[in-house]
Amino acid sequence: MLWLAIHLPQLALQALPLAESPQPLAVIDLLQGRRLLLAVNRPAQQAGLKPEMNLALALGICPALSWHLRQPETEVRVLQQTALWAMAFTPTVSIEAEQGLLLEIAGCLNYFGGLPSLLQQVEHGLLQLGFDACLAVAPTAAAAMLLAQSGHNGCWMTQAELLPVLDVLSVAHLPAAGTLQSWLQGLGVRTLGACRRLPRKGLARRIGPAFLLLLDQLYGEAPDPRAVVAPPLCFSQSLTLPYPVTQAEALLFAGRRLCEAAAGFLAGHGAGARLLRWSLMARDGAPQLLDVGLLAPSRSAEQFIALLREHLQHTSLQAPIEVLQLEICEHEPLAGEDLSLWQQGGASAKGAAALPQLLSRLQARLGESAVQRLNCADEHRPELAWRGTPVRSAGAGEGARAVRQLRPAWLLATPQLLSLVDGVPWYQGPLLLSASPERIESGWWDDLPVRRDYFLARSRADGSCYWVFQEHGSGLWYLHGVFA
Amino acid sequence: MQSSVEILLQDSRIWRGSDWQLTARPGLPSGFAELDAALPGKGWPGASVIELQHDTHGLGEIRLLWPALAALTANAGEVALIDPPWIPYAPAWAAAGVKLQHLLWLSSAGGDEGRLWAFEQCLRSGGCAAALLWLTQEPDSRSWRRLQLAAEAGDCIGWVMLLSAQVRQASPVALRLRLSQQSVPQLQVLKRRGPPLLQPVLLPQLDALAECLPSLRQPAPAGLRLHWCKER
Repeated sequence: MLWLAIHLPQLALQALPLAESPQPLAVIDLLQGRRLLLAVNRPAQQAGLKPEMNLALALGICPALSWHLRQPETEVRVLQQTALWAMAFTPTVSIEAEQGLLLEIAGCLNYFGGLPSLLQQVEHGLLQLGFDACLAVAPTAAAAMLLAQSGHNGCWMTQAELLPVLDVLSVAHLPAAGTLQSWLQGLGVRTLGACRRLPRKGLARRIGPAFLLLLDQLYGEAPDPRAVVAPPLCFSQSLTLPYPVTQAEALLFAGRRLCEAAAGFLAGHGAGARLLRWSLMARDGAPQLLDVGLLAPSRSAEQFIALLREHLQHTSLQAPIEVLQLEICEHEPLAGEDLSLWQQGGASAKGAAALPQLLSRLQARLGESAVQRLNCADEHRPELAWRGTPVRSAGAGEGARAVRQLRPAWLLATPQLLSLVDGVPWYQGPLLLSASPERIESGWWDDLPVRRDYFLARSRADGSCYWVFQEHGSGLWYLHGVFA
Repeated sequence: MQSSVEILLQDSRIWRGSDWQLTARPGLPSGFAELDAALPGKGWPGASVIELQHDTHGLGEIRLLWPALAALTANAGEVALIDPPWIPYAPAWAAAGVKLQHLLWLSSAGGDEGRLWAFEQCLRSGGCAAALLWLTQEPDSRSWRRLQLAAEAGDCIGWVMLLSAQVRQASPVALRLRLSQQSVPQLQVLKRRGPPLLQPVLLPQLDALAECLPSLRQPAPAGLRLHWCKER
């Protein structure tokens, strides 16, 4: 077993989406009636504020400070979202204490290209989510978490590497109650190593077996089962924005967190999403729904964000938005990418995945009907001999039998009436016509009867080639195609 | 016994002007031997943007590309047509050998800005083998460079189709061609990686109607009856 512990020391602050604000900002907590700073953002740090400072003192140092009361429910929800995101890496994720996640990573190291690469991806993801994090890797879950919580970034791969670090770790970092620590310090026991050297029986009698169990779990001498986060069956998460948002860009920032969580949720299920439903909720009035369809099932957060951006560019917000919600309505099984035996093999797989992504992006911006496949149809009338079908429908590109006659590369959507000059059809100059017309007479049984003589034509002005016809009855000349 | 000059010439560090067609990556055969002989890499250069000017529509500008597009789609490469001036007429494209299931038609991209965006997405994504773009105005040189970088990133050939009258300044792309019609359709290589080509490449095959309607500025072969529409 190898555990990766993620400790989010600034969670109380960073759970609120305004942590990036350039103004000094603090989250405070009520402790025995005193208002203490729990976490401060970077501008506030630069102003000289620190956690555990009294609010009155902090306002004295930095009058511009804006502060928020801690929101424990928001923190729990954000931690759960982050746990879903972490499922992109391993199925074994558990939520630890109030600010931490534990990931069992021994089984997925190879897939992510080794520990350094995995850590890099985890760090990058956390940065994208807007978290400061402390990461520690150790063979026991308790030790990994304790090291992360005490600010020890690093990897200790084996028991032998872990022992010396744990032995010198101060007992002050233990999560146990404060009285125990002062009791231990009163004995002159300052490190975990010193703790372990005390007689076990006496220690158990004085402070109870729970502490001994914790100590054993830290050193890997007692089993340490963890409750694994079970992914919910259907994804629906919302994010309350700190202030009503009128600009799409601000929604994107909040949307990213939901997208990352959704991607983790899908990875945990081994599924890909077909349809994302964004709900933009204002204070009153019905929520504005934004359905983002995907051409092929996907679980890439980057793709979700890119599609949301395209949709938002074409959406006007009806009212200031306060809550952003993401639901995944349709998902279907999507196998993970197999690792290729030879590393170069990735290129073609990437190309195959690139096309559905491209089509989804184009459709998101241009509209579904703007991206089409072309088909031939068995029909004599030229305007009915082709069909455009939206890309999504299957069976596109099925060909009818080919025509033997010459046909132009371009067809005008509606034939253009040509004027006659000296009895000669005129299109940017007089047209020279072929000797034998091709008669197309069809459709007498439906609403679009056609009786035409089609001529190949060449412009006398510049030599360009056209397809023109003369309508029977009216005798009018029309331009219908261009031989490009 | 080799002379010292011959030994020297075998050194790979020596580049000879006559080798300009030996590019690191062979081009995509255009289907026209005369044109291949004029292009570096003996074909359409891959992963790049090509400027193709034509004096007017209907000179064979699509017939020029059909063999290459047919080869690409036969290889399951996607070809995107971005806002062509008219509807691509499926029977003609199918008859030219283009596999319609790999042909994408993007209509109403919403102005030149939208077209350039769509074109760049197609070039960059890696999902397309080729993309064709029609514009009402020539792109500025910054756009050209962006497109070129996108084509390199996505390993895609991009043809930008411009009417000659729209072109005001020389673009920075590596291959610029101009299709015009004299007695036969001819392609002028305005710019290429290699020595300048002064003579235009004559491509009589591009004339769709050469058999039934001979070109104007050459005498009609005997026995072929020219038909003027009836005076009325």
